[in-house]
Amino acid sequence: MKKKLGMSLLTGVVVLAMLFAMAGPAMAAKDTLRVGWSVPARKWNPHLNTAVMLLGHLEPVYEGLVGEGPKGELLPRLATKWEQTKDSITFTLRDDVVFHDGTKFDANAVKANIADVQSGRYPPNAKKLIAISSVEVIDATHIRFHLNRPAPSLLYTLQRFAGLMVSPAALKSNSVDKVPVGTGPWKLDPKRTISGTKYVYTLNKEYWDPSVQGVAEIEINVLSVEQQFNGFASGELEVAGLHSAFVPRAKAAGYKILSPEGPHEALHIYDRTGKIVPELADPRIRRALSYAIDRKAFARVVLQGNSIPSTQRYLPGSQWHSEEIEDLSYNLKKAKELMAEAGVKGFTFDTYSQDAFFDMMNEPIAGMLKKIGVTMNIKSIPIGQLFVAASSGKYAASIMPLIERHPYDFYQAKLAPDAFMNPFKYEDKEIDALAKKAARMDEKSAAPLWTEMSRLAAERGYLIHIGSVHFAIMVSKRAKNVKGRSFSPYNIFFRGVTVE
Amino acid sequence: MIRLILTRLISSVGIFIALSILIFLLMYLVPGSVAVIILDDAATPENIAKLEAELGLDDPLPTQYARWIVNVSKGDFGTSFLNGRPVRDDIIEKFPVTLWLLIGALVIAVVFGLSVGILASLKPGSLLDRSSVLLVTLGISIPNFWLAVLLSMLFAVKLGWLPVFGYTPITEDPILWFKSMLLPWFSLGIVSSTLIARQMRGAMIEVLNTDYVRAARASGIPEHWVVISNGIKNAMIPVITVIGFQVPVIIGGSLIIELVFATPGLGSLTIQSVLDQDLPIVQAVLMVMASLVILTNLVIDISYGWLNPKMRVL
Amino acid sequence: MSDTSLTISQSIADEDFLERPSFWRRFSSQTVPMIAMIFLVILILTAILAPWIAPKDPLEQDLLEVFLGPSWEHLLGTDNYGRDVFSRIIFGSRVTVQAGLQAVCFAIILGVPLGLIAGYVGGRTDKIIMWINDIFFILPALLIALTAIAVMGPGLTYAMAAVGFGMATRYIRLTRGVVLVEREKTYVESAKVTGIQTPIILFRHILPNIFSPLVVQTSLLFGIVILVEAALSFVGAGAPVGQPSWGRMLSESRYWISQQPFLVIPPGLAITFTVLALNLFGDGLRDVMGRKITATDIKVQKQKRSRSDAAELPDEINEKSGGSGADSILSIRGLEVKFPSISGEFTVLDNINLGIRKGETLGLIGESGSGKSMTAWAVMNLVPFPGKITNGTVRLEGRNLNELTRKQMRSIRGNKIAMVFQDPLSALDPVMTIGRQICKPLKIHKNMTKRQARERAVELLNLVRVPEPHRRLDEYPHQFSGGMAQRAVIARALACNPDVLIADEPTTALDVSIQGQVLELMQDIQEKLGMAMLFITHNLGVAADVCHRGAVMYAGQIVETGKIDDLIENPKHPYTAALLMAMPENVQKINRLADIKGQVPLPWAWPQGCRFHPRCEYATDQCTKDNIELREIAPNHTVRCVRSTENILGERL
Repeated sequence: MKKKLGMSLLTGVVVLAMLFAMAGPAMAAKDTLRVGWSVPARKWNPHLNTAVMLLGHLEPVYEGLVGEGPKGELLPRLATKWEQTKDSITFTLRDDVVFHDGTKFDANAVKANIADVQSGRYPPNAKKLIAISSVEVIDATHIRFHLNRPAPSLLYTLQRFAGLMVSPAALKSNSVDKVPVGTGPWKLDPKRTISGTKYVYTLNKEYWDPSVQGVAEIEINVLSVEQQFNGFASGELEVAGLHSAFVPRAKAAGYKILSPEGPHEALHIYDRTGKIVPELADPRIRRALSYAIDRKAFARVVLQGNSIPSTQRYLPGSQWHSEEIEDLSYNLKKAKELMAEAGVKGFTFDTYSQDAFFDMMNEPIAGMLKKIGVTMNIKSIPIGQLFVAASSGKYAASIMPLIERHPYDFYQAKLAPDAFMNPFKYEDKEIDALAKKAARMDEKSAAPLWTEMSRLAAERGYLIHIGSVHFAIMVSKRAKNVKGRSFSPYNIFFRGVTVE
Repeated sequence: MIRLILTRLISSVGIFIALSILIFLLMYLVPGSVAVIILDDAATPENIAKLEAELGLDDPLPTQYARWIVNVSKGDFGTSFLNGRPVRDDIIEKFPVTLWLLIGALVIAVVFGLSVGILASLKPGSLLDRSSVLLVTLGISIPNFWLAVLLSMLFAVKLGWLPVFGYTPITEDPILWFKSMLLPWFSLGIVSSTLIARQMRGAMIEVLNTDYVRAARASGIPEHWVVISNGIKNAMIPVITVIGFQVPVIIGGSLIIELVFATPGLGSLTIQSVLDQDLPIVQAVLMVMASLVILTNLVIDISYGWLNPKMRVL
Repeated sequence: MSDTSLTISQSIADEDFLERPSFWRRFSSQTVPMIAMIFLVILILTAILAPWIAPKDPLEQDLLEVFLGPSWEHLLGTDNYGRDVFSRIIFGSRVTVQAGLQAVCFAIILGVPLGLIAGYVGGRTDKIIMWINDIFFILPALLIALTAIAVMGPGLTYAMAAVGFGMATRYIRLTRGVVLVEREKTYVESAKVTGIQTPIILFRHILPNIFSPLVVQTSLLFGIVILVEAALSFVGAGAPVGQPSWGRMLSESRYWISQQPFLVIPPGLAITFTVLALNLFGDGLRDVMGRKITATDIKVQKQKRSRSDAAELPDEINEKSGGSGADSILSIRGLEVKFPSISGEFTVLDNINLGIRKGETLGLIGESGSGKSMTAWAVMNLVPFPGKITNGTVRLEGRNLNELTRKQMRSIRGNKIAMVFQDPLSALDPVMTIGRQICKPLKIHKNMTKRQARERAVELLNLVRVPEPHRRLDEYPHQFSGGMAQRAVIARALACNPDVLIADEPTTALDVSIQGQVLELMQDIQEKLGMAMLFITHNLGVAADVCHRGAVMYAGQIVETGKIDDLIENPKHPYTAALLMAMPENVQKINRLADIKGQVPLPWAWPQGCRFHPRCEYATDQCTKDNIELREIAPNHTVRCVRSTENILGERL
């Protein structure tokens, strides 16, 4: 009797376990692009994300009015053309686009999306669209954004999160929290997706441009670095984003490497007033920090040469690059002299990091600052709170990417007295005046003013620039036509990629 | 026997309720407010206040607990802070994987642990025994994640016998499933098997030294029969408790091992959620894991009674 | 490693008689735990002195010297930022030791007082504390640590406090246990003195008693904490970036496997060795504290005696000493048993000669530790491992049992020779029904079917006067009273109609009121079945009731043999006389304290000369010198005493 009880208990557990396991997915199709990714998806509503790392999961599903080229250029996408004047942008929309849930894409859908972003649920994105004062639906295929201020970079902003189009029905029912509903060439298969681990996208058969659908399926696997390498070695992955430090390893293994231009990184000095770290109020000390950073060694050793060191925001070739900027590059002697001149032996400040890749930025820089007696304490913060931390006023400085490409956005985000990432509300009247003036001028004549602004910000040590940090994309021989994406670590364009 | 089951059941329920209160309270131990975590980069004072009201954080705690536990009993653990997905979906998706991991690791631990323990106990002080003692102590001391890294370097990367990461559902391909589980099973099972071996060896040596075993030998009963029916059966009584202890040990180990092998179970979910401070998921995982352990303890207690006739009369 | 070194003492002598070497000496004699302890001391010193020991600054980067292999300049090479790995490992010990201390101290500070309260106050407080305790026992330490991180954010401080919180449960249990034991003891003690139980006395007793288990517990928990710390740092939730922590180093080293695979090794080994050392240290400590005496502890004095002694003994005396010769059904000649130990072998049985005739009962008499039971085991060829019969023969009906194969010997045991034990309840397997235990030998030796065996078992239980045999066969030993259980054991021994029954103190563990019944039963049965019986006892009185002849044993030797009446009326060996005086009835008669002073020495401490001389009031110089031989002083009466002819004992009784 008792034995029977034991047996039946055991059988029960096994049967139960098998039932659970049965709930799993079915067979995979053949031409699948398998991607290694380092972070899981967060919110499926693109308007609630800003971190470029999270673009990958959204990319197959969503499209914006404006598309993005490999160098960041504007491409027609859901809008076939547009026209920008001083106080408005008018788009002509495609008329053959349907959302994954069957909702028709039209001007009203666009309006609903802009309203969603502007609702303020997610301030970092809401702020990006602050220039749009109202949205006017002209007809089903024409829409006009009215602008209340200069918006030189608005179209670029619309290429990503804030500009991606979600089915208005899904927005209304909040179903987008669970499953993304866009217009893209692939749609998420929630049944085969294991959230946090593996995301499976299947072909959108109704897609308006089948020519870009090179693969029937995309599989994004959340993996650590060595899992990615192992996956490549065993033929279980075709594409993976890599930190540049791993490029030699990838090259040694014979994989193809793409390295599109990466985001620009800088040590942001927030406490320019010296409120929590008094030493940072002294411009000499801030410049000493710049002299202490050996950008070339960092680029060569840590990033394996996959980077462009720079002491200013814009690289040579950019219309905003400054030729007159003072030499702020590595000079340990000068750094020590400046410290001595300021009468400071050394000091300590806290900064933060959220994952291994931020660590690889912070650790070597901390090592360099240590040589002039400056200790940078790196605290761990939960993933996803980078911007909260930057704007919290708890940290005097931190290394952050400058995701804003246009100087106006750069000013708005980092330098303006009310900027999100200017927690100590530091005001530099000269820079303010320059920015306000430039914003009202046309692009060409504004350029010298922007150049001046970014030069001053660097020379005054508001941002200690490190350079453009390229990330690498490792591509197996089976994957063809893979293109990297600028200013966006690890991201590739899925459109047009094929797998043999 | 029924009384035994009943008293154990009642105390298990008591512990479960107490634990659930503690787990519920986690939400309120957060410095500042959970709203900040939920909102991430969207945490403005207005948003925080609005969200706190929405979440009902102003209600008295007992009311909030009552609401929470009622929901939990219906399987509703709330929604993820991070992506607004119902936590239940995550748990249902990942629990089977971890359960399989647990079952497999436990099987390995028990099979290896018992056989090594028994073999070592038969000739205490022999070479086999000494080396098993050494291995056992070493096994307890090696961090399982290091072992996992070394195992995967050898069997997956170097030899290519097994997949390096990931998980194939059993319904998709049972053979691949088995292969994908082998390394995690061993990484988890080895440590536990050493603990079981240690206990089994000790218990066997003790039992084989008892009068009733000598008496059995003195009755001319063949040694293998003595070892099996007197030795093992008696030694199992204390060891069964140790086997029960392995459930929390393996669950604890699975947290890291799943991460190493990218096994999509509760372990990797936990680590990710901890790093994200996604408390509803952490709460749900704690509830599930605690239930699993409480349930095992119950089963162990009952099987203890089943094995030990003295307990049966109660 | 407690179990490797066998608990020999259990089978030879009551360990309480042994004078134990000091704690520290016993600990330091164990090599492995000593090495572990030295390692731990070095580790702690390293953690404290890290800035002075480390050759380099652990954070000092040199981007020109990355991924260097081990060299004199960098003992363990350099990492991806050109930092010295050796220095990082050294500084990593700080994180490890600090995290461990944090958690363990927290656990002790929380757990010990709570355990004291629970144990001391008792009652409801105790129940509540222990219940809360059970709750925390459910969750793995790592999960508790991760929960703390989920709530408080990444970092080791809160996580370690949480781990400490979870581990406090172990200290609560430990302290409570010690308090409960001590409370019982001191209650009695202090009640005698003052009539009140003073907490002060209690705590004075508890402190020394709790210290050692606390150290053991702490060293084992420390190991767990270190693994938790490493795991947290491994997943990036523990030690902050840049800080040299072993877990973090291990985690990061995985990135550079292709550039410098060696980086995976040092942190992994550092963790493993540290935890290993803690475990070995804790185990070693526990072994020393435990009540068991291990072979390692035993220092055998080189014994001057050699086994050739037995051979030198004239054959004649050999024959006579144990009693009658050729007509013995069981005869033991020159039996010697030795146990190995680290410092050589020691003898446990020394030249034993005995013989029993059919229908005869031979008493084997002596204190515990004299070697009576070992003789019984040697007859069965079941000397406990690692002991061995090194000399002599045991013959059953002329067949030398020592030469039989295992299988042949097995067919003798339980069949031709059967045994009855001192404690019937421990001689019966607690998880098997009485019926199965009686039937098994029948099935093996007599090839009976299940039904036949059961019928025979009923018959046997009837024979030993167990009422309701049918029902009782399906019961478990714990359902039997002591007397009934011994009847069952006797029934099992009788199952196959043995020629020889060995009864090892069959009534000692029983209630006085039952002893008589069982003895009577055994005598009845022996007469009825006409078998030979070797009756082992420490009580000459019992022997007088049951036995025909007796052999007195002391320290592995037979010291006197003879008819039981001769032994009692006219003992020739002072030891026999002493045993006689220890009998309750005699104690009253001569109005003297019953105990013989001192105890039987353990085999490795047998004195030279007469082994009894240190306890003998008649000892002379001569007694300490040579080995004394067994001499026949009267027909069928042999004595091992130099003064046996002097009639020294004459007027005593």
